[in-house]
Amino acid sequence: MTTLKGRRRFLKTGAGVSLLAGAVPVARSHDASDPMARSAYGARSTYDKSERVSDAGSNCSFASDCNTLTPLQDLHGIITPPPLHFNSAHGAFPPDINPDEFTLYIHGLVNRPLKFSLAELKRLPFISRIMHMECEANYPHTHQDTTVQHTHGKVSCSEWTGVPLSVIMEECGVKPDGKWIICEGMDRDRHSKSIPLSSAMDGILAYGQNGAPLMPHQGFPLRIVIPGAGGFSNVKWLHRIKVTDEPYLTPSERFSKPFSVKSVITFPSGGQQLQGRGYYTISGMAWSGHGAIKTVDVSTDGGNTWQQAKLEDPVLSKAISRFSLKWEWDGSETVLKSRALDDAGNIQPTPEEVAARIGGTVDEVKRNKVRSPDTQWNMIFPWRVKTDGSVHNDLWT
Amino acid sequence: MRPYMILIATVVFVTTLGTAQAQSYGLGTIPTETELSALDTLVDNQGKLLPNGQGTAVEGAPMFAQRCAMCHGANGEGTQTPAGSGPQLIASSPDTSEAIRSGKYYFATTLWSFIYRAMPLHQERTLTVDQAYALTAYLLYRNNIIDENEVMNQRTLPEVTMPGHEKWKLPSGDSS
Repeated sequence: MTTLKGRRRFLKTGAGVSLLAGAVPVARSHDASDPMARSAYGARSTYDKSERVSDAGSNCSFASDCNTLTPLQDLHGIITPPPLHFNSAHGAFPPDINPDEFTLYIHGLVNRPLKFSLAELKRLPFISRIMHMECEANYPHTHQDTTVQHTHGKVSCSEWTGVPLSVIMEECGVKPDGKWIICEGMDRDRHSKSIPLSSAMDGILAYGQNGAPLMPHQGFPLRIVIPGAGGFSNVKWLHRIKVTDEPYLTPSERFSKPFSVKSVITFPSGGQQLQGRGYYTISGMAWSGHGAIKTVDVSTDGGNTWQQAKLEDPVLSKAISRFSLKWEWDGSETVLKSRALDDAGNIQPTPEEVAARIGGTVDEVKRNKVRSPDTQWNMIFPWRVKTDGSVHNDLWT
Repeated sequence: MRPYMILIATVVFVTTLGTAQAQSYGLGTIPTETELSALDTLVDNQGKLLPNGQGTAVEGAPMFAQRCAMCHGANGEGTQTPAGSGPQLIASSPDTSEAIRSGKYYFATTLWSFIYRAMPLHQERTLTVDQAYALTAYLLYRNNIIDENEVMNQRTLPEVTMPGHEKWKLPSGDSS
């Protein structure tokens, strides 16, 4: 205490002297606008400017809720910092929910409808699982999609902590004809999603994300997270689960096609600038809605030859895996690509392979104008490195 | 009673509990019917859960002008404003992809449910049951799906066949 008081006195004196002298204060102030002063909740370096952006071409000003994309080019490892987690807006601003007044209701085709406070939910058995989450619309849309943030930024990966849905379902006792759950959020339009109970039972009613409470945009205080499911199913601000015998449709209701295996190189990637010929460590991300990544191959010559990349631990099922490859750039123009394989045997296809399989021209499948009936867009993605070291989206040339 | 008999009795007791699916942790409380019915407003596709009430397009027209047109346009053509956008609701032609004639609404009950639960923007859940029926009837009429004087209620609304209905397909068990 003495030390603190002494320090405060010193600060006051220091500020006073500085003001009298008309000089810049030498001691750091406790001004809340000074980021370094906010040490109770750590602030990042003022030099770290990484941030989410909205969809290319949208005039979203963040004044209303809008889609935001994760800056994959700035991330290391496999975890997305919660403030940089992508957000797909379907309603308005996140509801402002007091966790002390929050209640989760479970009812419908159950033997025992129940409601839980957040404090009660936190007393139940919990699990933590690292899982990626991907929006169904995570593919390049326009020529303005120049960076990996724009082409692939609707995927993020977090350690989610909460109560297994199976625990809650056992507490309530699902009746034999209970085959679906409808999860409802507290957002303005009461976003609701029907999910087959069989595919939701691996789900977590999550209150924790990377060790912290969920952020408001990620569903504070509770959301459901289902491994490998489309982002749309992971209902945020979850306050009600109704067990039913069939889906109840909402206008926004859609049923996702499975996400197959996918990868992308994040360094070097679009919009970045290489410093000249020499050594670089190529870095990228791979993930699959069907399981764990088995191998990733990288081509530094436009797909003529492939080398197996190094997979960094941990390599987890239905989570992002980090890969890297040593690369000596000789300064000539080239195209970098990655190709992932998962442990279910799925391999990332070329646009030509997709076009041959489902019909449509190569250009149409690249642009997702002709869509695969059974998987989300997951093609091998090319970055062109020019002789001046600039890097460009080479999907559409 | 011998120890093994106690064991058997215990097993039988626990098994019986198991089939009744007893709670394991004793947490949570049983919500009242009143609590649940206030929350449980999402209507099933066949409309079994539709509440009692009614409305017609004639009644819905002035409500649309008053409560909906500022975002969706006087003729339901949709608007884009700095404050937000209102999607097109009334088809300009039968093959438009931007209105309720499209495949987004497989069931007329979905339209009622969304209006009642999520509209109007910033005044959600302020419409009465009858108003939601009247506005639903108005949009169905303006999209050439029902007649102007057809009464929409919990019996007639589920009988309306939406233009996109044939596209409805129950997803396979593992999709989500």
